[in-house]
Amino acid sequence: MRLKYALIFLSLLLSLQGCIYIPTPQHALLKGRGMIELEDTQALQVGVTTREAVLLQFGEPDATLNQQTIFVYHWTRVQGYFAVGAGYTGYGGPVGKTTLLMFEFDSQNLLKRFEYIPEGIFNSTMEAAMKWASRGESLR
Amino acid sequence: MTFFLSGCLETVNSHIYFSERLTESYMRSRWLPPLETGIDTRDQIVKKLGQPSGTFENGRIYSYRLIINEWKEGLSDNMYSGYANAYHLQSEILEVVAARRLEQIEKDGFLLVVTDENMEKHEKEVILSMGEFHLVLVFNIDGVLTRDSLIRIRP
Repeated sequence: MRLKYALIFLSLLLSLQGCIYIPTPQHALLKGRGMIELEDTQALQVGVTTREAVLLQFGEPDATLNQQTIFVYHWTRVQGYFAVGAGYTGYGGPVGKTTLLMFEFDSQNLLKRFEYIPEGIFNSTMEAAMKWASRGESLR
Repeated sequence: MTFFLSGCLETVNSHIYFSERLTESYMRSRWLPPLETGIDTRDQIVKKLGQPSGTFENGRIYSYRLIINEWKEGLSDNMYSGYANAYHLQSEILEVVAARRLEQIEKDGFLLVVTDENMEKHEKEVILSMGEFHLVLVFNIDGVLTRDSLIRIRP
């Protein structure tokens, strides 16, 4: 597995000689819903906050899992810009960072846990969400 | 001409420009039908707004994904590409272009409830819409509206 990543890295190194990446603080929304700020989740209380309250505050989730016991909200914001040049041509654009906010509710419709998680480099949004959901199952 | 005028025309951040204008109060007063808490039933809500985008807790809670669609005839692929470049790849746009879009909404716009059924048909309009709101409605055991919340999802 390590050899695979080393080969990918090496081939990128050789092929992207004219590549530049400029990191920036996260800013404009690139995809999905507007970001849910940390301060917007501070009033939430595990075992007290209801599913209804979460819906009234944040709206319809982008996805649900396990018979709506898990809500997934996600958004992608710009965290840098890249440019690739070769000869007289070039291409550039923003680089996004996807964040998920996950909620799990119990059988009484009360908040069981919630967490911000990054999407990760090698998995999709739904893969990250399902991984988080399965982590809860293993805790039971 | 454009080159010479480029120093004179004011550019704006499209996200800020639209978020300042597409507010919850604007959405309620201009686009939403009146919702009467304690009076409206589930059926009356469906008559006013159509089928919800999502339902929760066995229909006790309805959610509506709302956009204002300004393209009555839909969007061609060319139009979509043009708008996508203007509004998503460049955060700075000409104020006059943004203002024209808002005028277009006032003239031809209509409220669209986005559901799983119509998402494919309206996908381009949804992606390029200036804003998206979610309306969440809670009903009591008799199916009467008890709480509602309008949330701006973007910009």
